[in-house]
Amino acid sequence: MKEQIGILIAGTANPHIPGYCRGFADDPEYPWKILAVAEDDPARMGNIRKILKNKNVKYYSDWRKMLDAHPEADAVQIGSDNKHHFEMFREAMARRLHIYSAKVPTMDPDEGMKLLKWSSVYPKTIQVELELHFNPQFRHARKLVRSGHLGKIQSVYLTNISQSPCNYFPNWGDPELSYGRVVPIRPGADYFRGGALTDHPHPFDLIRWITGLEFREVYGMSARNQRGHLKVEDHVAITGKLDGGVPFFINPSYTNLEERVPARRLLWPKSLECSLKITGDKGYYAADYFDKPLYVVGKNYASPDRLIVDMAPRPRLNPDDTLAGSFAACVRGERSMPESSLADGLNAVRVMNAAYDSIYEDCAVRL
Amino acid sequence: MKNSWLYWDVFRRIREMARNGTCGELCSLRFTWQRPGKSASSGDEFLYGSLVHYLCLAEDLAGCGLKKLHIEKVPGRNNLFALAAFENRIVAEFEMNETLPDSMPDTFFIKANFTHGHLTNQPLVGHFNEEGSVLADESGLHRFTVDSCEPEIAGGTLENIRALCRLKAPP
Repeated sequence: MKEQIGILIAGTANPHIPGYCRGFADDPEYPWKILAVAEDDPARMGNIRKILKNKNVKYYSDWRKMLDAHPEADAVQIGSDNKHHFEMFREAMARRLHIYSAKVPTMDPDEGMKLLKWSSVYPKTIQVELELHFNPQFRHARKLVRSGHLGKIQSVYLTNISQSPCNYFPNWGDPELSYGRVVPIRPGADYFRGGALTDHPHPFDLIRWITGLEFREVYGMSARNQRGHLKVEDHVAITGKLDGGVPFFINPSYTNLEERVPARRLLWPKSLECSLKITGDKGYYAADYFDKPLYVVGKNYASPDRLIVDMAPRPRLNPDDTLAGSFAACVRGERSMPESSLADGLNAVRVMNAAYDSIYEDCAVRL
Repeated sequence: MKNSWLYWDVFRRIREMARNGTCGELCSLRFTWQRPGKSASSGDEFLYGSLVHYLCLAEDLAGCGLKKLHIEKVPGRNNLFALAAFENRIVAEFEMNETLPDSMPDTFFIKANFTHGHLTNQPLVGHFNEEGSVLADESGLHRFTVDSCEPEIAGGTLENIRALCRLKAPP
């Protein structure tokens, strides 16, 4: 077993944080040991305490106090609402901690520029959570493209369509907390930036990571919301051009419906549609996140008495082949670069903001 | 030109259920049209026939006039993505590709997202509603599961189980 790094959790507002906590709680070989958690929301803190009930973890309502109280920590995971990420980055850098940001570092371009500048001379690891690099089917796509097996890439299609987390993470439906400021999706609209598109940076990373091509032009549309109560967008469809004029399509929406209950349950039989299709002039590759489906109908299942698509687990032969594992390997000095860097995260944000601007201005935006 | 797609049973059933309010109000649509190169139509027919016919289906389901259309097409090839917005703020997405390897079959899907449900003939998993990934090239159509990052294992179920048995400690 590799040495666990010691990590602090600054905020648990990001919907992925409980998953990391469950990983640590259930797996004695998890890449990191959670030393402390800071959260100012009693409900979220209660949830995390329940997950970590058998672990020796300290709890704080003030994340700064937590940072001060744990000089022994190697790293901090920034898991607050996006609005607070910048401040947390700054404080973590002042303490020379390795940093793992949950999803977007910031949606604010000026803050992003500052972070990038500071990080250029920062001696510690900064990893931004951009998912799916360690899903073998997407890794295989990268190999097929980079080896030239598919020939010259003609087009790339990627959907990442989830349910909305806003019922059980209501903060995620607050445009200011999510996007950092209140900006209508289009002039006069009654819903705002900060929804499905802000929640899904990884498609914009995944296409770059697989193809090596940069986004050059973006055009987006946002349909009327399926959920009338939401203050943020639940549908966005984006197309445009990559390097060399290669057309792409991304749908990063919340267009799979969920039950309106406080705890997460499934309704649409497949909670997430993540489908990749790459067309080259020598071949075609299609991969689905649910590539090892397991169909469940169970009285005691999370969503009882209806057909749900679940999955068989993937074998993990190398413990570093996860986002947490690769970060820990970087912190231990066993890996020179994080799997997804701050620059990668901010690159995704740049394309996402271009898509928002395209929807607002109703025109294609060049990058 | 007569739009034969108006006779498509899947479309007709979706239209019927949409009009009955089975799933509430329509919000967005996605259309998939994928064919192998051997079945490709002429460039004009693809753009001004097939795409227009699909647009008509979207307009029919939206119940409203087209407001905006944006097309991203691979130059000289029958391969495009398009986004269409209707006056009532319903958006339709189009994925149309007639340049797939000849080993690929036709696939035509509609997914309609409503305020209180979905209507679709899209597979629940994968490209063909089957386990694993799809690779089509000049050697044929291959279906397999890529089972681990390192060492990468890509094969059928039996091959994967045997490889894991060799490489991994017992569960």
